[in-house]
Amino acid sequence: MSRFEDESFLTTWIEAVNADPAFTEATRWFDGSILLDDDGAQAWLKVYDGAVIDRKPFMPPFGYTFKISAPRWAWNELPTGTKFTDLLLGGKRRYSGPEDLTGTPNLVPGAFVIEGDTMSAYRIIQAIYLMTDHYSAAARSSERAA
Amino acid sequence: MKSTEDIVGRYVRVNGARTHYDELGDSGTPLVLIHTLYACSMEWTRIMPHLAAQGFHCVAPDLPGNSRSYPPNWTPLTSSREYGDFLSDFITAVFGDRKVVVAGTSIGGNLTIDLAVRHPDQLLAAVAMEGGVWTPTVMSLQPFMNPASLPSWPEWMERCAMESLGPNVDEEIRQELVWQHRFTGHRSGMPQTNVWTEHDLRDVAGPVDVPLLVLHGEADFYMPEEIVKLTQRTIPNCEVRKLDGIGHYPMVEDPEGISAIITEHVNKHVPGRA
Repeated sequence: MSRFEDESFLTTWIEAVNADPAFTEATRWFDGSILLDDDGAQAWLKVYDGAVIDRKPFMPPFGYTFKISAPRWAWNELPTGTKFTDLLLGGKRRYSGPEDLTGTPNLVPGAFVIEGDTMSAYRIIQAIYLMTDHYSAAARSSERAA
Repeated sequence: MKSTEDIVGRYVRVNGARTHYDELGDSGTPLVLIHTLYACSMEWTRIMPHLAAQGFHCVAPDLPGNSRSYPPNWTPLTSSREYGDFLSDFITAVFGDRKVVVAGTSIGGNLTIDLAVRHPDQLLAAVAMEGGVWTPTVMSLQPFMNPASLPSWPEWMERCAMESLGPNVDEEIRQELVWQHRFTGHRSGMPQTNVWTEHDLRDVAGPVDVPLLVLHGEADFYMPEEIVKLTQRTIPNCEVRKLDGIGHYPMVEDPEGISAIITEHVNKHVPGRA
């Protein structure tokens, strides 16, 4: 099951995000929505005035400002300590084996993909990182409790 | 032993551009230290006293366009070859005809290998950290060369640096690394991501006439093991060493240990050093 289908996890995670003053500062002048996707399981977050002020388990008809998606294995890598940068930029994951190094580089992108209004996304890239930090912490906390 | 407060900043003209470098020691074996992309000479601050104590005359430039160095003709350089040629001219400007040891990290590691391949006559020995003969290991950031296209790039870059550190780095060192990435602007720093992804010496590299040591941090996700092996195959007479628990910034993460490794390599290969 995706963590986006786990109400208890979502509550813990979003409370932690909203309690983080760095997130508040980074999104102080952001008015938009973020669609998160984990192999089809979704969480839509409305962010305004420095906080997540609403969320839904699906994308509303009016869409999203930007979308962050990744296969479930990548979301599951975050709580294990794998860095978001590693999963976003590609890094060593661009290589499936030595054959990728013999000719044109393997152009497999990072596991996490940001789509939509990427200008707005990168404007609050610090907030995105903080959300992944809190996602990892909440997931670890949830696993310890289980 | 000299301290970090003994480091002095100096300037030299290279290809017409006023170029800044940090210096520690005024005698000993010349050692040129090349920083990572979007950063500056301060990345070498903690290691310089250790190296000076081992008899090195340390010189760490700000690459052209970074921190306090202007780019030649007000145009940031865009390739390893351009940076390598610039560093060759920098070595001549500072040390004349004397041969130097060179050490660098990340694009500095790539440039160290570039110098060993294309300018071996200027080198006594070389130590490349987190660099290789070919490093297309992150996605292209080509669409983001104009500052208006990527708001908050500095914050992203800081995370890119912080997250690639090894697991046991003190908070003070982490904060220093953040600040070391705050003195270079988008117009120089962003093109350096392309210098990294488009760096390719596969067609020109082979056995080198310089003792070359390649260091590889095991926790560095920017430098996959396959690239290290490719580098070793392409330059069969280079020596490769893995650094346990170290990420993308060995000289920042373990200055004393990296100083000892550089010293051991140079003492082993440079006459009169042992």
